[in-house]
Amino acid sequence: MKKRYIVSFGIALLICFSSFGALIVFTDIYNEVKSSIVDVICLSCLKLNPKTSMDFTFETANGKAHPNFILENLSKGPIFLHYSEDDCPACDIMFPVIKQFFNLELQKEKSYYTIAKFRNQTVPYFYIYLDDKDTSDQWLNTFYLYDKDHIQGLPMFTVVSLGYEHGGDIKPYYTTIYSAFKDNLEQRIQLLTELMDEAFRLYNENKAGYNHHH
Amino acid sequence: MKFQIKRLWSQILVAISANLGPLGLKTGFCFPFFYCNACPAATSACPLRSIEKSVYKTNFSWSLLVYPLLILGFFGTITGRAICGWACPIGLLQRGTGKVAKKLKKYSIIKKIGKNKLELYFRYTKYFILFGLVILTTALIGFMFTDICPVGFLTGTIPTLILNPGKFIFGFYFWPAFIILVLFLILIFTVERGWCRYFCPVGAILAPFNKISFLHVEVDKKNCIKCNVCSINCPMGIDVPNMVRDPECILCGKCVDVCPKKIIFYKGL
Repeated sequence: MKKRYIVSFGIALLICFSSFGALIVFTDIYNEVKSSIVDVICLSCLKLNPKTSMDFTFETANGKAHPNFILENLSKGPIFLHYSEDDCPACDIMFPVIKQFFNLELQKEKSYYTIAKFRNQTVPYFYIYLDDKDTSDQWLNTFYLYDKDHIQGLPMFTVVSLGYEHGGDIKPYYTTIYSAFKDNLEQRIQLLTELMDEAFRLYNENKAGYNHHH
Repeated sequence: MKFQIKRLWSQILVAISANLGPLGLKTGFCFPFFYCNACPAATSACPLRSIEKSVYKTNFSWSLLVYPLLILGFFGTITGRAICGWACPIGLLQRGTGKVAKKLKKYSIIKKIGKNKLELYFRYTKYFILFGLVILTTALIGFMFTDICPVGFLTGTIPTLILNPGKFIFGFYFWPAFIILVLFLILIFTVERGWCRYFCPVGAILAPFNKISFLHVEVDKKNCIKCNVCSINCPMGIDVPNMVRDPECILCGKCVDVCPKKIIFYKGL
């Protein structure tokens, strides 16, 4: 009886251990858990929302340079970057808000680029879905570049415009806001409108001096 | 070194190793115990968060469900619920508050609650929390348990607010979760291991493994003198002389330590 028990125990342990090993080796579960739970701050677990500040800055969050696709698109207009991921309640709230704001046809789980319009002006729009495997590393890396307040939480919205730096150069000047940031659709649209108005004011002031090759 | 001191060291070392995030140690594993990944220092993921994400709004992801269950299953198969007694940082916290709870046992109202027949049934609450709040509501409505989790508040929200003053505002669930945290603190200061006994969903996953685990605690019933010292000292309130692979046993070994006849012992298989 005891021998039979030891054998069944051994088999149970073996199944458990080998399934775990197979899961680690043949799926990307380890990276999925790391990137979607451990590395990203869970705002719903914290019961907190990041304080929204629309202050623009020249300093990138990780000190790295703006990538080429941002510098190139800046010659078209202020850039809007919309970051989202799987299983994120605040992302689900904000997705239809952004769709309505820019009048876009989007798929929630696919990263996407288009030229959107705001008051008939051009806005290069990037939808960066962190869990879409087809999203380029260049796009994904901007999540850490523009995480202005080091929140590492989603959803995140970045507007890159142009600003006049004290050194005399016209450079990318950006701000980032996080989460659902207001209580209802009307307030969210109003805040986004104020943000884009400010982005265009800065852009129109400085675009004449901007050269993305510099 | 005394046995319970060894256990204390084990709990302290695990609590430290679960908080090595500031040294850059962030892994893709799930903790085999109850600890929040929103803690700024956490090294791994809460198994409940992974389970919640696996069923979120019926977008079923089998790997996120099986992964934490295999980790818990592996430790559960070998040691049963010893994880709760020897490793869980919230168990360590309750080890501290348990001393207050033990003193409060003198008061008749606490005694009455402990002896109430319904108390045994109340222990099933953790299974309802696991299936209701962690799985069902997440699948049908959205995240619920982690939004109100008192451990998340204690180890995630409070340190985050202290480390980042002025950076966050309170979310919708902040005050409900704060009230639950206050109740949680009252509970662990009045009932020894109150959280583990009644509410811990990770304990609910590990508990059935006590029935089959390699390591367990056994009582030589023939030679028991029914002095009941073991039951009095059991932090989980188990009727130790009559227990047979009790799902509530956290293998802390207090009964093994205090038995005057030395007829309670750890056994492998």
